[in-house]
Amino acid sequence: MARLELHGITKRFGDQVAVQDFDLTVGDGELVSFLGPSGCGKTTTLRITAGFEFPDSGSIVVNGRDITALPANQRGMGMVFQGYALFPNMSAADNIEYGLKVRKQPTQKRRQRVAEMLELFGLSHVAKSYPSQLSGGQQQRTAFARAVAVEPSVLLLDEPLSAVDAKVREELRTEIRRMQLRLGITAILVTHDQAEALSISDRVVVMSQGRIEEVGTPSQIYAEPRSEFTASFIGAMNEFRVRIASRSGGLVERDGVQFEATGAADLPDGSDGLLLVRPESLEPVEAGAAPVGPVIRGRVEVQTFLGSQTRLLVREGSDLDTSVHGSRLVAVDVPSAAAGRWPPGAEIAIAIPIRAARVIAVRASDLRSTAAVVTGPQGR
Amino acid sequence: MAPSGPTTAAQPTATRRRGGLAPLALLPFAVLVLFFLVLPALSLLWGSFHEGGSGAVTLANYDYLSGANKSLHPFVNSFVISFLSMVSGGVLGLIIAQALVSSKNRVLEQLTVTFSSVAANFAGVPLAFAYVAMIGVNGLLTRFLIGLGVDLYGAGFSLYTLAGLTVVYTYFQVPLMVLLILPALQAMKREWREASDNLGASRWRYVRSVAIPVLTPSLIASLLLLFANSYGAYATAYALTTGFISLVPIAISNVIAGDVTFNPGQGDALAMGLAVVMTICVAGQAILQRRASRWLNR
Amino acid sequence: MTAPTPGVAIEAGHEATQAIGAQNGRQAPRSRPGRSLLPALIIVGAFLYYVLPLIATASFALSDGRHFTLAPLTDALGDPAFHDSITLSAGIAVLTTIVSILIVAPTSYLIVLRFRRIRTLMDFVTILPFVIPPIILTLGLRQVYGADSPLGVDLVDSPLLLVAGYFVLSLPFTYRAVDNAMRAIDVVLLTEASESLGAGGLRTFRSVILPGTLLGIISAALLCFTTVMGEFTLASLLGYATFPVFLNNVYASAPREATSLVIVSFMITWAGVLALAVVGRRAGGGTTALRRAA
Repeated sequence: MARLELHGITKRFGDQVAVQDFDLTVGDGELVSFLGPSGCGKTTTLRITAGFEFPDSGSIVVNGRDITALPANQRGMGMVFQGYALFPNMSAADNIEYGLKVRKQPTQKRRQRVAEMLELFGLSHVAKSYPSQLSGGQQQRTAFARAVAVEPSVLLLDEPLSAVDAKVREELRTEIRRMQLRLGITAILVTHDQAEALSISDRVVVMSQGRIEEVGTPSQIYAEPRSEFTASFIGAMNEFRVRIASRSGGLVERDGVQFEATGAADLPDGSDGLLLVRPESLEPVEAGAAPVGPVIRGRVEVQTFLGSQTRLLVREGSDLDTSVHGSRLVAVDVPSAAAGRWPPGAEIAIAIPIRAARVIAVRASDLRSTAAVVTGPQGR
Repeated sequence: MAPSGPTTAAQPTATRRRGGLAPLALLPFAVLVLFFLVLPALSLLWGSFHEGGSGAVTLANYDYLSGANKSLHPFVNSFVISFLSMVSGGVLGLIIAQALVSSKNRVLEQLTVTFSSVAANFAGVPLAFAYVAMIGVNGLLTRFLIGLGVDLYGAGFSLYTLAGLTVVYTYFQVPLMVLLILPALQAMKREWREASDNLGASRWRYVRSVAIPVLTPSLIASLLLLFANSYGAYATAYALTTGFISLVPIAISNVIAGDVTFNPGQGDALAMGLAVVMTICVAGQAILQRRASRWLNR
Repeated sequence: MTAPTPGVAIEAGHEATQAIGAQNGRQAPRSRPGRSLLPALIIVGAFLYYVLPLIATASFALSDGRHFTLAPLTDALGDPAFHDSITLSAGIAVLTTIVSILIVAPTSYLIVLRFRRIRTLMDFVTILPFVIPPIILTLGLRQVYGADSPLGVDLVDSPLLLVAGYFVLSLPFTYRAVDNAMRAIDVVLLTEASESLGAGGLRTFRSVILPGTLLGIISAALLCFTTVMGEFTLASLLGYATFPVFLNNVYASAPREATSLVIVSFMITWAGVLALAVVGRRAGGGTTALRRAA
């Protein structure tokens, strides 16, 4: 239906920069998520797109038409608000009909469209109910139906699931995706919930402090984060400080051991890097096996049951070591069925599989925060 | 497996709760309310249906309802003044409250709320005298307006009439309206307007289809309280007119003072009539408020 | 083990982001300077409206026709009858406040704790004085406790009748303030916690409930006190020369002095409202709107 372009959007509130140089093109029928912590500018960007805020600079283009100066009520976009913003004095059906009435559609056509929407969203039995009588999920569906009933050019979803409880949330996010695909509608989803963003988006825009950190498909963002912010914001991540040993050979060095790591070829020799490994990518070394890569030795401190997997928090180094250069915590996931082999206090050796390890540059601004990441202080 | 504990564990507390001396602690409250609220009320109710001298059951005390004896006058007068001051206070208060919400200034809002609390409570005798000083025959404002060529009293205005009294009552109605309606205005979500905008509606359409319907219950509830507030008011009217304007509370006070226009039974009937008006307002307010809170609670 | 399990990892990482996401606050609202002019004008107008009668009061009371003078005020303040009236008002107000709190606080606690079933009844009873304004209550009290009392109890000459009447009249304010405070803390849970630690009922009330609801109780006390200080109807018709009654009586003979006392009355109201605002803010609630029967 529509192609949305945001060009160099910048917005300040007082002397605070909310959004800076935001560039993004959303393709026809694509669902793009804005993901980031509170205050990262994702909601402001969405509100600028909707026309509730006006950018200090930059432009918004829909299907080649510049709509930057157009007021919200002439943009023809649909929006699902964080708290739904259903009109409390109207029934579910009346809420859905509102936009159609505003467009002065003939009664017959309106009725038909409302009925169609109610049917599509499974709301027919609560058509006459008021928002206060609807469950959270029903309110969410009504808000969604209201927004798409008018066939908007772009659908904007502002934390649409933050107000429903965890159980319903998962079900509804699948439904949002299903409907979006079915209606073939271009959509932007603002969320602070990485699971939501990763599970239903075509692409994810990771934002921090008003800027785009990274844009990519969910699997790119998850498996190959290009910044430490993304790495630490999404999922649990072990981070090891390493040195680039040989750029040409793609080798990094940690604790005197050299090994291959993806991404080492992009960084200068001798520079510091961060080696990122997901807990599920680490493997306990079987007794007698000889792993290819580096091995972390330590003691299990605590087990956390996660379902099919159990996460072990391992304190690296021997007891004597800790007094010398501090200790580090490493998270490693093992199948729950096998977790009994590593009770708290047990010794364990963990291999870092070469393929799964990826090294990124340490930014000057990241140096301070490194102390706080999952792995703890990096001695030396 | 482990024995199921929770249900049995809760039992001892529950059983210990019953009986004991606890009900006795409610006694002082019950006695005071019974003897100084319920009993007097019942006495009025009984008196209103009985003849003063003989004690025979009668409906004659309520003859004011038929308009006989001109005794309906107090109710008509009270209605007029309450209705007028409800409208004037309601409109002005609503405008001020909306201005506060629009200004989005927390300090100003707190300040105005505090001032309104003071003004809403600055009623009765002191208010009457303050208004004499302001728009009495020789009041500050009266003289100021004459200086501008506007002669209030020459134009037929007088502070000591129903119209004058309405002006004075409006003074405590305005701030009361501000205090009553402000929470409702604040509970109007910005997102509602944005959702309406987003769906392509004009501002007027939003006001007509959402804002007014959502606010109506709170609005009517507040107006009912304003109405009741002036209907039962006595001190201001008494201090200003020393009982010459026939309002229901004034008429009742005249009965107490031994005035012969009404006999005691009729006094009781007047009181019951006043109580009925107040009950309608307070009950209506409670019902509407409950409805409003269903919409305006987040 | 080698197979990535994103679902699990995502769930675990979720907690960290939730702390951030929990207060996903709104950004600052847009501001357009031009539009705030009309509201500002209206609010200035409102202040003028509130203040004008007081300016008129001061200008009438504190002038002898031409010049500024404090004489009417000092005369009025020096009047022994004024002293008597303000002492009487304050005395009755203090007594009523003490009685109200001593009765309302434990009652409200017990209702919440053990007699939840009659809560609706209590809500009804405590709103009754709104339905039965002072003028009606006065008439009723005079019938029941007047010279020909059906109970044979003549209380008209006892200030205790006034105290009892004021207890009833201020009930909507006092009970609501205390009850709100009781609702704000989980009284039942706290009591159970206290009892589970071995404390008895009285000790629980004194050491746990009272401190937890103190601000609400202070609010109730202030509401009661200011209500009584300004009440005219009951006192006037039962024949007590409280401050408002004195104010009314003295007006006929000395309007300037009486008007100057309006300022005193206004200051009492201000003090009450300000104290309530301070207490209300510390309690975390908004300013309590007290309503005195006009």
